[in-house]
Amino acid sequence: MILVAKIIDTQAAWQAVWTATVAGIAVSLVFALAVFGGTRSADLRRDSRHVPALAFAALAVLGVGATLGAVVYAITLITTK
Amino acid sequence: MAADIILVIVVITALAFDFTNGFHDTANVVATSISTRAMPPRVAVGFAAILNFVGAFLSLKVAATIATDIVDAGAITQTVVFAGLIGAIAWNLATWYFGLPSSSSHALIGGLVGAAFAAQGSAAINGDGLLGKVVLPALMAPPLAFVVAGVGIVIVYAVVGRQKPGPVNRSYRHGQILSSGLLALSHGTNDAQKTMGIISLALVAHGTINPDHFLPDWVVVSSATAIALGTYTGGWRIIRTMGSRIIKMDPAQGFAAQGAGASVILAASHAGYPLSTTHVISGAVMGAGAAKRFSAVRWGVAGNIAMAWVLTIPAAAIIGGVVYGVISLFGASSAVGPVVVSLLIIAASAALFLRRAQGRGGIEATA
Repeated sequence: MILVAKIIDTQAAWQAVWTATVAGIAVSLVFALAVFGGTRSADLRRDSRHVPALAFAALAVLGVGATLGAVVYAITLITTK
Repeated sequence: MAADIILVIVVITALAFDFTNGFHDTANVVATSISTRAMPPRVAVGFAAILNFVGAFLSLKVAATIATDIVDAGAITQTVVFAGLIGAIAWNLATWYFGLPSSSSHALIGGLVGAAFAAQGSAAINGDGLLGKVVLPALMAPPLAFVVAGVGIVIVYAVVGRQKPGPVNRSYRHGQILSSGLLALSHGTNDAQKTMGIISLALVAHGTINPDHFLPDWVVVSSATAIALGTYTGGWRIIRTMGSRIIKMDPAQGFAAQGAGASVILAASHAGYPLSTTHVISGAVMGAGAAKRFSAVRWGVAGNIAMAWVLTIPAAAIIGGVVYGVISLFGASSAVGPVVVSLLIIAASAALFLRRAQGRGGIEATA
């Protein structure tokens, strides 16, 4: 165990595991919320229920915004490493 | 004169490796997008090729760090680099022939380790570096991506599972364009730099540039072009394995695999723990499939892929070591050895491509 701890950078490995887990799950969640908001909003607009449609559209916009934010952050990581 | 010829051969071989790297790793970027019809095949590989090309120019900081901490810097000569590259190219071509995704970085490291071992013995190899920087991350990457993509697709189905499939699928296809673009950019940045690093090592060893010199523009442009051309050529056999032989995926699974994969690669790299793109994306594809239904994953195909991963470093090392031995027969500083080996690998590659074009031979990566 001590040998393994000497060979691997356990701090970097642990940070890689938790940041990767959080980032991966967060991307799936925010884009799913964007898709959910968009499809629900379209359904409600067709039924002329404009107020809830607007709320779901706002959810979609937030989800897309968060996804694009993640993409921009990722590009920043790629270009600055 | 001999040193000049060897330098030219090493540069051409490094660019050939870069081409096979792009060709081999196209699948990581485009397989899920093609499989879910997010993009037509030719558009997908063209898109990936352009972003690989652009990515190669984005950062040059890791260009000089190939195999440091793994192989003793004093053991790296032009012939060691050449033999290592041949080991990596041979393994990339062999795994392409069988349609198996495997890590080009591991093949390169394996080739260099084998060649350095043949040249200088075990003292040239840093076993702890190999274990800590290569083997353990390789063991960690697939399960991590598997779990992240699996949890991701469970969340996706919980959120959008009751919506109409048509608009949901369309949205996820658009999302896949973003996630595959990100993967292509990241791949170009990481992998073209390996070639730049190899060429710069050869130029320093030859005395053309000094170690503090900036990379010449032609090195950057030629490396970017080689990886982009390789990507555009497309390793269709591996694309088929990644895109449809491991699981039959829907667009949401494709996005979960790519999105989780890209997040894992970038987050781990940011934490100072770079992981293999191939291992991460393959693990993510399996995770996105298994979370929907465990039996949806063709575990026989997954087993063949895992076997290729296990064999990558030893096989490339053996080839690299044997190639170094063959070159040594002609004299360590003679150009005859590299010329003979280059002709042999060109002939073997041509035979492999012809055989494959005629649709013969090989074990398929089927279940």
